Amino acid sequence: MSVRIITGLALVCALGLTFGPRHALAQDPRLHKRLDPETAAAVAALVDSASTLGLPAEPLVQKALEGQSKGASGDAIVRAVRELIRDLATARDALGDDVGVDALLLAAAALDAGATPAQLERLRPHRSRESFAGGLAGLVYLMSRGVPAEQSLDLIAAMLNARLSAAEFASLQRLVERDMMAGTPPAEAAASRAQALIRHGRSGGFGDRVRP
Amino acid sequence: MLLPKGLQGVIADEELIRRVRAGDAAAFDALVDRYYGACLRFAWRSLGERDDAEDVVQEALVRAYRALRRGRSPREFRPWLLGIVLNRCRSHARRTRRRRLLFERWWARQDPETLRVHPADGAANDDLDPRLKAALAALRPKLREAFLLKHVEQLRYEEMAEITGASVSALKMRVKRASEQVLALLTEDGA
Amino acid sequence: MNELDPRLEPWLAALRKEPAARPEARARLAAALREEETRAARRILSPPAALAAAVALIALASAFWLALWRWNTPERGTAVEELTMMQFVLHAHDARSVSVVGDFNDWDPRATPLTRTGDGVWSAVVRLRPGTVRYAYLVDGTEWRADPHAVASREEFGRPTSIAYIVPPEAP
Repeated sequence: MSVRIITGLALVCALGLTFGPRHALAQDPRLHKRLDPETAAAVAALVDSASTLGLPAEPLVQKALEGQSKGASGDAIVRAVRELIRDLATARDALGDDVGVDALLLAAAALDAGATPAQLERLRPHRSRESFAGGLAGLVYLMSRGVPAEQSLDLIAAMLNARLSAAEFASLQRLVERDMMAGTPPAEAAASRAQALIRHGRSGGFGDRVRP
Repeated sequence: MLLPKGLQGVIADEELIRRVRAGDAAAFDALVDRYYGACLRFAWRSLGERDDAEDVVQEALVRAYRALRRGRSPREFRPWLLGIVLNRCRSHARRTRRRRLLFERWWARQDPETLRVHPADGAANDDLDPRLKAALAALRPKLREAFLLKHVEQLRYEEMAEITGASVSALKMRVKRASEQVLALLTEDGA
Repeated sequence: MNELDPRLEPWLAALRKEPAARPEARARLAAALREEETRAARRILSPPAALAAAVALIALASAFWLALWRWNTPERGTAVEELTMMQFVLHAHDARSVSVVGDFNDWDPRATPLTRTGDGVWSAVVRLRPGTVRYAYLVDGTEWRADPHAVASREEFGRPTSIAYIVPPEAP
Protein backbone atom coordinates (compact mmCIF):
# COMPACT_ATOMS: atom_id res chain seq x y z
CA MET A 1 0.00 0.00 0.00
CA SER A 2 1.35 3.41 -0.86
CA VAL A 3 2.18 5.89 1.84
CA ARG A 4 -0.58 8.16 0.57
CA ILE A 5 -3.23 5.50 1.12
CA ILE A 6 -1.97 4.74 4.61
CA THR A 7 -1.92 8.40 5.49
CA GLY A 8 -5.41 8.80 4.07
CA LEU A 9 -6.75 5.88 6.11
CA ALA A 10 -5.08 7.17 9.23
CA LEU A 11 -6.62 10.57 8.66
CA VAL A 12 -10.06 9.04 8.26
CA CYS A 13 -9.59 7.04 11.47
CA ALA A 14 -8.42 10.09 13.34
CA LEU A 15 -11.31 12.19 12.10
CA GLY A 16 -13.74 9.41 12.91
CA LEU A 17 -12.42 9.20 16.44
CA THR A 18 -12.52 12.94 16.87
CA PHE A 19 -15.91 13.67 15.43
CA GLY A 20 -17.71 10.35 15.58
CA PRO A 21 -18.87 10.07 19.18
CA ARG A 22 -20.16 13.66 19.21
CA HIS A 23 -23.49 12.40 20.44
CA ALA A 24 -21.93 11.60 23.80
CA LEU A 25 -20.49 15.10 24.05
CA ALA A 26 -23.93 16.63 23.66
CA GLN A 27 -25.14 14.78 26.73
CA ASP A 28 -23.45 17.32 28.94
CA PRO A 29 -23.74 16.01 32.51
CA ARG A 30 -24.35 19.52 33.82
CA LEU A 31 -27.65 19.69 31.98
CA HIS A 32 -28.94 16.51 33.52
CA LYS A 33 -27.70 17.42 36.96
CA ARG A 34 -29.32 20.84 37.06
CA LEU A 35 -32.40 20.64 34.82
CA ASP A 36 -35.47 18.46 34.95
CA PRO A 37 -35.21 15.50 32.54
CA GLU A 38 -37.57 16.96 29.92
CA THR A 39 -35.84 20.31 29.76
CA ALA A 40 -32.41 18.68 29.83
CA ALA A 41 -33.34 16.48 26.88
CA ALA A 42 -34.76 19.43 24.93
CA VAL A 43 -31.68 21.55 25.54
CA ALA A 44 -29.36 18.64 24.70
CA ALA A 45 -31.19 18.23 21.40
CA LEU A 46 -30.80 21.94 20.67
CA VAL A 47 -27.09 21.76 21.46
CA ASP A 48 -26.80 18.83 19.09
CA SER A 49 -28.53 20.73 16.29
CA ALA A 50 -26.32 23.69 16.93
CA SER A 51 -23.22 21.52 16.52
CA THR A 52 -24.56 20.37 13.17
CA LEU A 53 -24.85 24.00 12.22
CA GLY A 54 -21.27 24.48 13.32
CA LEU A 55 -22.11 26.59 16.36
CA PRO A 56 -20.37 26.31 19.75
CA ALA A 57 -22.03 24.28 22.51
CA GLU A 58 -20.69 25.90 25.67
CA PRO A 59 -22.58 29.24 25.44
CA LEU A 60 -25.80 27.29 24.98
CA VAL A 61 -25.16 25.11 28.02
CA GLN A 62 -24.33 28.22 30.05
CA LYS A 63 -27.54 29.88 28.93
CA ALA A 64 -29.52 26.88 30.19
CA LEU A 65 -27.65 26.89 33.52
CA GLU A 66 -28.29 30.62 33.85
CA GLY A 67 -31.99 30.01 33.41
CA GLN A 68 -32.01 27.26 36.01
CA SER A 69 -30.09 29.44 38.42
CA LYS A 70 -32.59 32.24 38.03
CA GLY A 71 -35.56 29.92 38.55
CA ALA A 72 -36.87 30.10 35.00
CA SER A 73 -39.35 27.58 33.64
CA GLY A 74 -38.26 24.80 31.30
CA ASP A 75 -40.10 26.51 28.45
CA ALA A 76 -38.34 29.78 29.05
CA ILE A 77 -34.99 28.03 29.14
CA VAL A 78 -35.60 26.20 25.87
CA ARG A 79 -36.79 29.40 24.23
CA ALA A 80 -33.72 31.29 25.38
CA VAL A 81 -31.34 28.62 24.08
CA ARG A 82 -33.11 28.66 20.73
CA GLU A 83 -32.85 32.42 20.47
CA LEU A 84 -29.18 32.27 21.32
CA ILE A 85 -28.63 29.77 18.51
CA ARG A 86 -30.42 32.13 16.15
CA ASP A 87 -28.31 35.08 17.30
CA LEU A 88 -25.03 33.16 17.08
CA ALA A 89 -25.92 31.96 13.57
CA THR A 90 -26.84 35.49 12.52
CA ALA A 91 -23.64 36.87 14.02
CA ARG A 92 -21.58 34.25 12.23
CA ASP A 93 -23.29 34.99 8.94
CA ALA A 94 -22.51 38.66 9.35
CA LEU A 95 -18.93 38.33 10.54
CA GLY A 96 -17.69 35.18 8.81
CA ASP A 97 -16.87 31.61 9.74
CA ASP A 98 -13.48 32.15 11.28
CA VAL A 99 -14.62 34.32 14.19
CA GLY A 100 -14.07 33.07 17.75
CA VAL A 101 -16.70 32.32 20.41
CA ASP A 102 -15.92 35.48 22.40
CA ALA A 103 -16.53 37.68 19.38
CA LEU A 104 -19.69 35.75 18.48
CA LEU A 105 -21.13 36.25 21.96
CA LEU A 106 -20.42 39.96 21.85
CA ALA A 107 -21.86 40.23 18.36
CA ALA A 108 -24.99 38.46 19.59
CA ALA A 109 -25.15 41.03 22.41
CA ALA A 110 -24.85 43.80 19.82
CA LEU A 111 -27.75 42.30 17.87
CA ASP A 112 -29.73 42.25 21.12
CA ALA A 113 -28.87 45.89 21.65
CA GLY A 114 -30.44 46.69 18.29
CA ALA A 115 -27.64 46.42 15.76
CA THR A 116 -28.64 44.92 12.42
CA PRO A 117 -26.66 42.20 10.65
CA ALA A 118 -25.73 44.68 7.93
CA GLN A 119 -24.29 47.00 10.56
CA LEU A 120 -22.26 44.17 12.07
CA GLU A 121 -20.99 43.31 8.61
CA ARG A 122 -19.25 46.66 8.52
CA LEU A 123 -16.78 45.28 11.05
CA ARG A 124 -16.20 42.05 9.16
CA PRO A 125 -13.05 43.23 7.34
CA HIS A 126 -11.37 43.64 10.73
CA ARG A 127 -12.12 40.19 12.03
CA SER A 128 -8.53 38.93 11.83
CA ARG A 129 -7.30 41.61 14.17
CA GLU A 130 -6.25 40.44 17.62
CA SER A 131 -8.36 43.19 19.17
CA PHE A 132 -11.49 42.31 17.20
CA ALA A 133 -13.39 40.94 20.19
CA GLY A 134 -12.26 43.97 22.19
CA GLY A 135 -13.66 46.17 19.44
CA LEU A 136 -16.98 44.34 19.58
CA ALA A 137 -17.03 44.83 23.35
CA GLY A 138 -16.54 48.53 22.69
CA LEU A 139 -19.43 48.49 20.25
CA VAL A 140 -21.76 46.80 22.72
CA TYR A 141 -20.66 49.25 25.41
CA LEU A 142 -21.29 52.36 23.31
CA MET A 143 -24.68 51.15 22.15
CA SER A 144 -25.72 50.25 25.68
CA ARG A 145 -24.93 53.81 26.76
CA GLY A 146 -27.19 55.23 24.08
CA VAL A 147 -24.71 56.12 21.34
CA PRO A 148 -26.59 55.50 18.05
CA ALA A 149 -25.60 52.30 16.23
CA GLU A 150 -24.21 53.99 13.12
CA GLN A 151 -22.04 56.34 15.12
CA SER A 152 -20.86 53.54 17.39
CA LEU A 153 -19.86 51.55 14.32
CA ASP A 154 -18.06 54.53 12.80
CA LEU A 155 -15.99 54.97 15.95
CA ILE A 156 -15.24 51.29 16.49
CA ALA A 157 -14.37 50.73 12.82
CA ALA A 158 -12.03 53.71 12.94
CA MET A 159 -10.37 52.38 16.08
CA LEU A 160 -9.94 48.92 14.57
CA ASN A 161 -8.52 50.52 11.45
CA ALA A 162 -6.02 52.37 13.60
CA ARG A 163 -4.98 48.98 15.00
CA LEU A 164 -5.79 49.91 18.58
CA SER A 165 -5.40 47.15 21.14
CA ALA A 166 -8.06 45.47 23.24
CA ALA A 167 -6.70 47.36 26.24
CA GLU A 168 -7.32 50.62 24.42
CA PHE A 169 -10.90 49.66 23.74
CA ALA A 170 -11.25 48.93 27.44
CA SER A 171 -9.84 52.35 28.30
CA LEU A 172 -12.37 53.92 25.93
CA GLN A 173 -15.02 52.46 28.16
CA ARG A 174 -13.39 53.77 31.35
CA LEU A 175 -12.88 57.24 29.96
CA VAL A 176 -16.38 57.56 28.53
CA GLU A 177 -17.87 56.35 31.84
CA ARG A 178 -15.90 59.04 33.61
CA ASP A 179 -16.97 61.75 31.19
CA MET A 180 -20.59 60.69 31.47
CA MET A 181 -20.44 60.92 35.25
CA ALA A 182 -19.13 64.46 34.80
CA GLY A 183 -22.19 65.22 32.70
CA THR A 184 -20.98 64.87 29.11
CA PRO A 185 -23.53 63.29 26.76
CA PRO A 186 -22.37 59.77 25.82
CA ALA A 187 -22.16 60.32 22.03
CA GLU A 188 -19.98 63.38 22.51
CA ALA A 189 -17.75 61.68 25.06
CA ALA A 190 -17.39 58.62 22.84
CA ALA A 191 -16.42 60.66 19.78
CA SER A 192 -13.80 62.76 21.50
CA ARG A 193 -12.26 59.89 23.48
CA ALA A 194 -12.12 57.60 20.46
CA GLN A 195 -10.47 60.29 18.36
CA ALA A 196 -7.95 60.99 21.09
CA LEU A 197 -7.05 57.30 21.34
CA ILE A 198 -6.64 57.05 17.58
CA ARG A 199 -4.49 60.16 17.40
CA HIS A 200 -2.34 59.03 20.32
CA GLY A 201 -1.86 55.65 18.69
CA ARG A 202 -0.76 57.19 15.39
CA SER A 203 1.59 59.78 16.85
CA GLY A 204 3.15 57.39 19.33
CA GLY A 205 5.80 56.43 16.82
CA PHE A 206 5.53 52.81 17.83
CA GLY A 207 5.29 51.57 14.27
CA ASP A 208 3.17 48.46 14.08
CA ARG A 209 1.54 48.64 17.51
CA VAL A 210 4.45 47.31 19.50
CA ARG A 211 3.13 46.83 22.98
CA PRO A 212 4.71 48.81 25.80
CA MET B 1 17.65 39.44 -9.20
CA LEU B 2 14.54 41.45 -8.47
CA LEU B 3 13.71 44.52 -10.48
CA PRO B 4 12.48 47.54 -8.49
CA LYS B 5 8.71 47.78 -8.20
CA GLY B 6 8.30 50.37 -10.92
CA LEU B 7 9.82 48.16 -13.58
CA GLN B 8 7.84 45.04 -12.67
CA GLY B 9 5.04 46.14 -14.94
CA VAL B 10 7.13 45.16 -17.94
CA ILE B 11 7.87 41.63 -16.78
CA ALA B 12 5.66 39.10 -18.52
CA ASP B 13 3.49 36.70 -16.51
CA GLU B 14 5.58 33.76 -17.75
CA GLU B 15 8.74 35.22 -16.30
CA LEU B 16 7.07 35.99 -12.99
CA ILE B 17 5.68 32.43 -12.85
CA ARG B 18 9.15 31.06 -13.52
CA ARG B 19 10.47 33.12 -10.62
CA VAL B 20 7.70 32.03 -8.26
CA ARG B 21 8.49 28.40 -9.05
CA ALA B 22 12.10 29.16 -8.27
CA GLY B 23 11.08 30.41 -4.83
CA ASP B 24 10.74 34.16 -5.39
CA ALA B 25 7.78 35.22 -3.21
CA ALA B 26 7.95 38.84 -4.37
CA ALA B 27 7.29 37.68 -7.92
CA PHE B 28 3.96 36.33 -6.73
CA ASP B 29 3.22 39.66 -5.08
CA ALA B 30 3.68 41.25 -8.48
CA LEU B 31 1.19 38.81 -9.99
CA VAL B 32 -1.25 39.58 -7.18
CA ASP B 33 -0.94 43.31 -7.83
CA ARG B 34 -1.66 42.67 -11.46
CA TYR B 35 -4.67 40.42 -11.08
CA TYR B 36 -6.26 41.01 -7.68
CA GLY B 37 -8.71 43.53 -9.11
CA ALA B 38 -9.94 41.21 -11.85
CA CYS B 39 -10.30 38.31 -9.41
CA LEU B 40 -12.24 40.46 -6.99
CA ARG B 41 -14.42 41.79 -9.76
CA PHE B 42 -15.34 38.31 -10.95
CA ALA B 43 -15.90 36.89 -7.47
CA TRP B 44 -17.94 39.88 -6.33
CA ARG B 45 -20.21 39.86 -9.37
CA SER B 46 -20.52 36.10 -9.08
CA LEU B 47 -21.36 35.91 -5.40
CA GLY B 48 -23.04 39.28 -4.90
CA GLU B 49 -21.31 40.02 -1.58
CA ARG B 50 -18.03 41.85 -1.27
CA ASP B 51 -16.95 40.20 1.98
CA ASP B 52 -17.49 36.73 0.60
CA ALA B 53 -15.69 37.71 -2.59
CA GLU B 54 -12.63 38.89 -0.68
CA ASP B 55 -12.51 35.61 1.25
CA VAL B 56 -12.84 33.59 -1.94
CA VAL B 57 -10.16 35.57 -3.77
CA GLN B 58 -7.82 35.05 -0.85
CA GLU B 59 -8.42 31.31 -0.90
CA ALA B 60 -7.89 31.22 -4.64
CA LEU B 61 -4.64 33.16 -4.55
CA VAL B 62 -3.22 30.99 -1.79
CA ARG B 63 -4.07 27.91 -3.84
CA ALA B 64 -2.56 29.43 -6.95
CA TYR B 65 0.62 30.17 -5.05
CA ARG B 66 0.76 26.66 -3.69
CA ALA B 67 0.24 25.17 -7.14
CA LEU B 68 2.97 27.29 -8.69
CA ARG B 69 5.39 26.42 -5.91
CA ARG B 70 4.63 22.77 -6.52
CA GLY B 71 5.56 23.09 -10.16
CA ARG B 72 2.37 24.03 -12.01
CA SER B 73 3.15 25.99 -15.14
CA PRO B 74 -0.03 27.34 -16.70
CA ARG B 75 0.27 28.54 -20.27
CA GLU B 76 -1.94 31.54 -19.66
CA PHE B 77 -1.93 32.82 -16.10
CA ARG B 78 -5.08 34.96 -16.12
CA PRO B 79 -7.58 32.32 -17.34
CA TRP B 80 -5.97 29.73 -15.09
CA LEU B 81 -6.25 32.02 -12.07
CA LEU B 82 -9.85 32.93 -12.90
CA GLY B 83 -10.56 29.21 -13.12
CA ILE B 84 -9.37 28.77 -9.54
CA VAL B 85 -11.46 31.75 -8.43
CA LEU B 86 -14.47 30.27 -10.19
CA ASN B 87 -14.04 26.95 -8.41
CA ARG B 88 -13.69 28.66 -5.05
CA CYS B 89 -16.84 30.68 -5.81
CA ARG B 90 -18.75 27.50 -6.58
CA SER B 91 -17.64 25.72 -3.45
CA HIS B 92 -18.34 28.78 -1.32
CA ALA B 93 -21.82 29.11 -2.77
CA ARG B 94 -22.49 25.42 -2.07
CA ARG B 95 -21.30 25.68 1.54
CA THR B 96 -23.22 28.86 2.28
CA ARG B 97 -26.35 27.61 0.61
CA ARG B 98 -26.17 24.35 2.50
CA ARG B 99 -25.60 26.02 5.82
CA ARG B 100 -28.33 28.61 5.36
CA LEU B 101 -30.72 25.92 4.21
CA LEU B 102 -29.86 23.77 7.22
CA PHE B 103 -30.41 26.67 9.58
CA GLU B 104 -33.65 27.79 7.95
CA ARG B 105 -35.06 24.27 7.94
CA TRP B 106 -34.10 23.81 11.57
CA TRP B 107 -35.46 27.21 12.52
CA ALA B 108 -38.75 26.48 10.75
CA ARG B 109 -39.15 23.33 12.87
CA GLN B 110 -38.93 25.31 16.10
CA ASP B 111 -41.82 26.47 18.23
CA PRO B 112 -43.60 29.27 16.35
CA GLU B 113 -43.50 31.30 19.54
CA THR B 114 -39.87 32.16 18.91
CA LEU B 115 -39.33 35.81 18.24
CA ARG B 116 -38.28 37.97 15.31
CA VAL B 117 -35.56 36.71 13.04
CA HIS B 118 -33.12 39.44 12.24
CA PRO B 119 -34.13 41.03 8.97
CA ALA B 120 -31.71 40.53 6.10
CA ASP B 121 -30.51 43.97 5.09
CA GLY B 122 -29.10 44.88 1.74
CA ALA B 123 -25.32 45.20 1.69
CA ALA B 124 -24.27 48.81 1.90
CA ASN B 125 -21.05 47.99 0.17
CA ASP B 126 -21.65 48.53 -3.48
CA ASP B 127 -21.79 51.32 -6.01
CA LEU B 128 -23.29 49.11 -8.69
CA ASP B 129 -26.72 50.09 -10.01
CA PRO B 130 -29.24 48.06 -7.98
CA ARG B 131 -31.09 47.03 -11.13
CA LEU B 132 -27.90 45.56 -12.54
CA LYS B 133 -27.20 43.79 -9.26
CA ALA B 134 -30.72 42.37 -9.25
CA ALA B 135 -30.45 41.29 -12.87
CA LEU B 136 -27.23 39.40 -12.18
CA ALA B 137 -28.62 37.86 -9.00
CA ALA B 138 -31.64 36.60 -10.92
CA LEU B 139 -29.45 34.59 -13.29
CA ARG B 140 -28.86 30.97 -12.53
CA PRO B 141 -25.27 30.47 -11.37
CA LYS B 142 -23.94 28.77 -14.51
CA LEU B 143 -25.44 31.43 -16.74
CA ARG B 144 -24.03 34.20 -14.56
CA GLU B 145 -20.57 32.60 -14.61
CA ALA B 146 -20.56 32.30 -18.38
CA PHE B 147 -21.84 35.84 -18.80
CA LEU B 148 -19.19 37.31 -16.54
CA LEU B 149 -16.35 35.29 -18.02
CA LYS B 150 -17.28 36.28 -21.55
CA HIS B 151 -18.44 39.84 -21.31
CA VAL B 152 -16.64 41.14 -18.23
CA GLU B 153 -13.45 39.13 -18.01
CA GLN B 154 -13.50 38.82 -21.80
CA LEU B 155 -12.05 35.35 -22.05
CA ARG B 156 -12.14 33.33 -25.25
CA TYR B 157 -14.65 30.49 -25.41
CA GLU B 158 -11.84 27.94 -25.57
CA GLU B 159 -10.38 29.33 -22.34
CA MET B 160 -13.80 29.32 -20.72
CA ALA B 161 -14.32 25.70 -21.78
CA GLU B 162 -11.05 24.71 -20.17
CA ILE B 163 -11.83 26.26 -16.81
CA THR B 164 -15.54 25.47 -16.54
CA GLY B 165 -15.45 21.99 -18.04
CA ALA B 166 -18.39 22.82 -20.31
CA SER B 167 -18.31 22.63 -24.09
CA VAL B 168 -17.85 25.73 -26.22
CA SER B 169 -21.33 25.38 -27.68
CA ALA B 170 -22.91 25.01 -24.25
CA LEU B 171 -21.08 28.11 -23.10
CA LYS B 172 -22.18 30.10 -26.13
CA MET B 173 -25.77 29.13 -25.39
CA ARG B 174 -25.40 30.15 -21.71
CA VAL B 175 -23.91 33.52 -22.62
CA LYS B 176 -26.69 34.18 -25.11
CA ARG B 177 -29.43 33.23 -22.64
CA ALA B 178 -27.82 35.24 -19.86
CA SER B 179 -27.53 38.33 -22.05
CA GLU B 180 -31.17 38.03 -23.06
CA GLN B 181 -32.35 37.65 -19.49
CA VAL B 182 -30.23 40.50 -18.17
CA LEU B 183 -31.39 42.77 -20.96
CA ALA B 184 -35.01 41.84 -20.39
CA LEU B 185 -34.76 42.69 -16.68
CA LEU B 186 -32.91 45.92 -17.29
CA THR B 187 -35.28 47.20 -19.93
CA GLU B 188 -38.44 46.08 -18.10
CA ASP B 189 -39.46 49.52 -17.00
CA GLY B 190 -38.91 50.81 -20.50
CA ALA B 191 -35.47 52.17 -19.63
CA MET C 1 -25.34 34.51 -32.36
CA ASN C 2 -22.58 36.06 -30.37
CA GLU C 3 -23.06 39.66 -31.36
CA LEU C 4 -23.38 41.59 -28.18
CA ASP C 5 -26.63 43.56 -27.97
CA PRO C 6 -25.47 47.18 -27.97
CA ARG C 7 -28.03 48.05 -25.30
CA LEU C 8 -25.94 46.01 -22.83
CA GLU C 9 -22.80 48.06 -23.43
CA PRO C 10 -23.33 50.83 -20.84
CA TRP C 11 -24.14 48.22 -18.21
CA LEU C 12 -21.06 46.22 -19.10
CA ALA C 13 -18.90 49.29 -18.72
CA ALA C 14 -20.03 49.46 -15.10
CA LEU C 15 -19.41 45.74 -14.57
CA ARG C 16 -15.96 45.89 -16.12
CA LYS C 17 -14.68 48.44 -13.65
CA GLU C 18 -12.11 46.79 -11.43
CA PRO C 19 -13.04 47.40 -7.78
CA ALA C 20 -10.40 48.98 -5.58
CA ALA C 21 -8.89 46.54 -3.10
CA ARG C 22 -9.57 47.20 0.56
CA PRO C 23 -6.37 47.47 2.60
CA GLU C 24 -7.60 45.07 5.29
CA ALA C 25 -8.32 42.44 2.66
CA ARG C 26 -4.89 42.86 1.09
CA ALA C 27 -3.30 42.66 4.53
CA ARG C 28 -5.14 39.42 5.29
CA LEU C 29 -4.06 38.03 1.93
CA ALA C 30 -0.44 38.94 2.57
CA ALA C 31 -0.59 37.20 5.94
CA ALA C 32 -2.15 34.10 4.39
CA LEU C 33 0.54 33.94 1.70
CA ARG C 34 3.29 34.28 4.29
CA GLU C 35 1.72 31.45 6.27
CA GLU C 36 1.53 29.34 3.13
CA GLU C 37 5.19 29.92 2.49
CA THR C 38 6.06 28.75 5.99
CA ARG C 39 3.90 25.71 5.50
CA ALA C 40 5.51 24.95 2.14
CA ALA C 41 8.91 24.87 3.78
CA ARG C 42 7.67 22.30 6.30
CA ARG C 43 5.86 20.11 3.80
CA ILE C 44 8.79 17.90 2.84
CA LEU C 45 8.09 14.61 4.57
CA SER C 46 9.82 11.37 3.67
CA PRO C 47 7.60 8.24 3.47
CA PRO C 48 8.64 6.78 6.86
CA ALA C 49 8.09 10.17 8.44
CA ALA C 50 4.66 10.39 6.81
CA LEU C 51 3.80 6.99 8.27
CA ALA C 52 4.96 8.07 11.71
CA ALA C 53 2.90 11.22 11.35
CA ALA C 54 -0.18 9.16 10.47
CA VAL C 55 0.25 6.93 13.53
CA ALA C 56 0.83 9.97 15.71
CA LEU C 57 -2.36 11.51 14.33
CA ILE C 58 -4.42 8.50 15.43
CA ALA C 59 -2.80 8.51 18.85
CA LEU C 60 -3.41 12.22 19.19
CA ALA C 61 -7.06 11.94 18.20
CA SER C 62 -7.57 9.13 20.73
CA ALA C 63 -5.91 11.11 23.48
CA PHE C 64 -7.93 14.18 22.58
CA TRP C 65 -11.16 12.21 22.69
CA LEU C 66 -10.26 10.60 26.00
CA ALA C 67 -9.44 13.96 27.54
CA LEU C 68 -12.67 15.48 26.28
CA TRP C 69 -14.68 12.56 27.63
CA ARG C 70 -13.13 12.94 31.07
CA TRP C 71 -13.05 16.68 31.32
CA ASN C 72 -16.38 17.98 30.19
CA THR C 73 -16.19 21.27 32.04
CA PRO C 74 -14.32 24.11 30.36
CA GLU C 75 -12.28 25.41 33.30
CA ARG C 76 -10.42 22.18 33.88
CA GLY C 77 -7.27 21.83 31.89
CA THR C 78 -6.91 25.58 31.35
CA ALA C 79 -3.27 26.39 31.92
CA VAL C 80 -2.86 28.60 34.96
CA GLU C 81 -0.71 31.08 33.03
CA GLU C 82 -3.63 31.85 30.71
CA LEU C 83 -5.92 33.04 33.48
CA THR C 84 -6.35 36.68 34.46
CA MET C 85 -7.31 38.06 37.83
CA MET C 86 -10.65 39.83 37.77
CA GLN C 87 -12.08 41.73 40.68
CA PHE C 88 -15.81 41.76 41.22
CA VAL C 89 -17.05 44.67 43.30
CA LEU C 90 -20.54 45.57 44.46
CA HIS C 91 -21.82 48.30 46.73
CA ALA C 92 -24.56 46.75 48.85
CA HIS C 93 -24.79 48.39 52.19
CA ASP C 94 -27.63 46.43 53.73
CA ALA C 95 -26.72 43.07 52.30
CA ARG C 96 -25.99 40.07 54.46
CA SER C 97 -24.44 38.03 51.69
CA VAL C 98 -23.37 38.64 48.11
CA SER C 99 -22.13 36.22 45.51
CA VAL C 100 -21.23 36.54 41.86
CA VAL C 101 -22.81 34.00 39.56
CA GLY C 102 -21.89 33.49 35.94
CA ASP C 103 -20.47 31.51 33.03
CA PHE C 104 -17.23 30.91 34.88
CA ASN C 105 -18.84 29.00 37.74
CA ASP C 106 -21.67 27.35 35.82
CA TRP C 107 -24.12 29.85 37.36
CA ASP C 108 -23.75 28.26 40.78
CA PRO C 109 -24.90 30.84 43.38
CA ARG C 110 -22.74 29.29 46.09
CA ALA C 111 -19.50 28.99 44.17
CA THR C 112 -18.11 32.52 44.42
CA PRO C 113 -19.13 34.49 47.50
CA LEU C 114 -17.95 38.07 47.91
CA THR C 115 -16.47 39.31 51.14
CA ARG C 116 -17.44 42.54 52.80
CA THR C 117 -14.32 44.65 52.69
CA GLY C 118 -15.38 48.09 53.76
CA ASP C 119 -18.30 50.39 54.12
CA GLY C 120 -20.92 48.44 52.24
CA VAL C 121 -18.36 47.30 49.69
CA TRP C 122 -18.26 43.65 48.76
CA SER C 123 -15.56 42.14 46.60
CA ALA C 124 -13.97 38.96 45.34
CA VAL C 125 -11.00 38.27 43.15
CA VAL C 126 -11.40 35.44 40.67
CA ARG C 127 -9.04 33.91 38.15
CA LEU C 128 -10.75 33.93 34.79
CA ARG C 129 -9.96 32.91 31.26
CA PRO C 130 -9.66 36.03 29.10
CA GLY C 131 -12.64 36.66 26.87
CA THR C 132 -16.35 37.22 27.16
CA VAL C 133 -17.98 36.54 30.50
CA ARG C 134 -21.64 36.83 31.46
CA TYR C 135 -22.59 37.16 35.12
CA ALA C 136 -24.70 38.87 37.75
CA TYR C 137 -24.58 39.52 41.48
CA LEU C 138 -26.92 37.71 43.85
CA VAL C 139 -27.71 39.59 47.07
CA ASP C 140 -29.01 37.67 50.08
CA GLY C 141 -29.69 34.70 47.87
CA THR C 142 -32.75 36.35 46.33
CA GLU C 143 -32.04 39.66 44.65
CA TRP C 144 -30.21 39.66 41.29
CA ARG C 145 -28.24 42.76 40.41
CA ALA C 146 -26.36 43.91 37.34
CA ASP C 147 -22.80 45.22 37.42
CA PRO C 148 -22.83 48.96 36.73
CA HIS C 149 -19.26 48.71 35.46
CA ALA C 150 -19.91 45.97 32.94
CA VAL C 151 -19.79 46.45 29.18
CA ALA C 152 -23.57 46.10 29.11
CA SER C 153 -26.45 44.62 31.05
CA ARG C 154 -29.84 43.37 30.06
CA GLU C 155 -32.71 41.34 31.40
CA GLU C 156 -32.42 37.60 30.99
CA PHE C 157 -35.11 35.35 32.40
CA GLY C 158 -36.59 38.44 33.99
CA ARG C 159 -33.44 39.23 35.96
CA PRO C 160 -30.42 41.36 35.08
CA THR C 161 -27.32 39.86 33.48
CA SER C 162 -24.10 41.71 32.77
CA ILE C 163 -21.52 41.04 30.12
CA ALA C 164 -17.85 41.86 30.40
CA TYR C 165 -14.85 41.37 28.17
CA ILE C 166 -11.62 40.42 29.87
CA VAL C 167 -8.68 41.65 27.83
CA PRO C 168 -6.11 38.96 27.09
CA PRO C 169 -2.75 39.64 28.72
CA GLU C 170 -0.39 41.59 26.48
CA ALA C 171 2.04 39.46 24.52
CA PRO C 172 5.63 40.08 25.56
